[in-house]
Amino acid sequence: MRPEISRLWTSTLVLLGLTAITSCRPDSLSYSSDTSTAPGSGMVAVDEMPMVNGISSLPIRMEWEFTSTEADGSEEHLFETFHADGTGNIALDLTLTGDGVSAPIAPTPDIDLLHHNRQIYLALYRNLSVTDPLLAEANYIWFETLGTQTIAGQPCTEFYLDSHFGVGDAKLWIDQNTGLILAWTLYDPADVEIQNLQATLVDYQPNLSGVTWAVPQVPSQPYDPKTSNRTLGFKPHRQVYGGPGFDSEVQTMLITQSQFPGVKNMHLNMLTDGLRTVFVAQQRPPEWALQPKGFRMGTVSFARVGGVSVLEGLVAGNWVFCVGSIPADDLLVLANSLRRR
Amino acid sequence: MTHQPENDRLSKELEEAFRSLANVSAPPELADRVRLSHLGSEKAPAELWDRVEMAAFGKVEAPEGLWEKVLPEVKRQSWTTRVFRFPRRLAAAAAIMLAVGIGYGLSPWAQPQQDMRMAEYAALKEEALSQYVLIEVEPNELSSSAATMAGSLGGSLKPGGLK
Repeated sequence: MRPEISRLWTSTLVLLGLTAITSCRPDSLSYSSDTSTAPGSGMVAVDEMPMVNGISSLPIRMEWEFTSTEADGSEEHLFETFHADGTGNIALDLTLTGDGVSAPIAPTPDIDLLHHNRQIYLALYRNLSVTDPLLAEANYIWFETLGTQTIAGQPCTEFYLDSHFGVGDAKLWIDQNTGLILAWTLYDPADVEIQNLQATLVDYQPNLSGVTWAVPQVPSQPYDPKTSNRTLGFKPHRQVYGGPGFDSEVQTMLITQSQFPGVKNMHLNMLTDGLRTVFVAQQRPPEWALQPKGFRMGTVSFARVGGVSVLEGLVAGNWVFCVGSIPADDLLVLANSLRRR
Repeated sequence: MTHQPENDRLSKELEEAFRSLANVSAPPELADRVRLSHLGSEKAPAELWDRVEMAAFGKVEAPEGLWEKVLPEVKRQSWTTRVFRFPRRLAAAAAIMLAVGIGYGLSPWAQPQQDMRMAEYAALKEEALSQYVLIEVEPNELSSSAATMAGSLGGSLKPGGLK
């Protein structure tokens, strides 16, 4: 190599090095990250997404403690046992409940029944799971804590997910051998913890005899705009925008009237941002809710319970529910993006 | 005009001389010379002469010591425009970095695209908030369908929390 070219390369490298040094910030984040939520020290940006598997993808028995935090700081603790046979059958049983102050107790029959009826949704949609790696990579900046941590006796890697849209960050602890999420924590936009789950036992060779597998309490059918509206009794609107990074919709029709005559059939759209699940559901509106023509401003109610925001109201003539662990005004964007077909 | 046939006849020697030239063609510059003679004498522009003269002159070396003699006069008459010293190789390195920086700035991974997504979303949120009035209610004031869906995503099971 000619000496001039060699000197040119040396100068370029020196300048690049100086630029890199001067670009470093005290919080060790890259400039492409969201500065509002700095992860802790000892974390590095992830170059390649980790392999993550769903908890129902292999035979397993797990015990975990799920905690949700209300706005007033009070907590609800659920001690649950999960089984999966790896072929799609799952079961989630409630063993104890607690408030984080007193010792856990056995659930009352009505609490147990509520939990039993919801077990499929709790296992599949409440629990964080990387359902769409591309979306999860697009909507969150992934950081990895160097070193290995142990959850329920399994070697895990801790990841911090910084939300691009500011809907709240998350932490995941992923089993280095199986790719299962063994613990997770979900934060609100102010970095206050709203939900977390931590496995206390993991058995990859479970004895599944005697397990009663969960069955859906409400029959569902895939939604077909050409044929389903007659069954639903109304015409659902279509979602034209996925809100803060949500996509990959799965549209189903819940035939609630077959089980609960007082509850009208429902159109359910399940959206994900790669990590969280949000429900956008529609029903034929109740008679009292019909809005007079010319009324321009809509009114929707919302509540937050156990880290979950719930929004409901009349949107473009249909009764709409938006539910998910994101702020209510972000749910409103989803509701406002419903358009008549 | 009268016709004089004796003038048309060529002498025998001349005729033989012309016949011996049968396979000979005129040189190419002959046409140029004839054309020039028709033009008469035209004066060439001054700079043309300078250029031809320079080309004809070829390269010559200035006498030794000439540059040293004229340098003080050149310095006296010229402006000093150099602001600071910057080695040429450093300038080249900076140019490479600038090109890389511009390339990154235009790439799809650059931050501005992310900023655009955020700005677009902020506008949509503003629009949604301008269309609806959000009223916060107690969890037990939600409809049973809303409460059931909230419970399915981890809403509280406490009595009095959700139905």
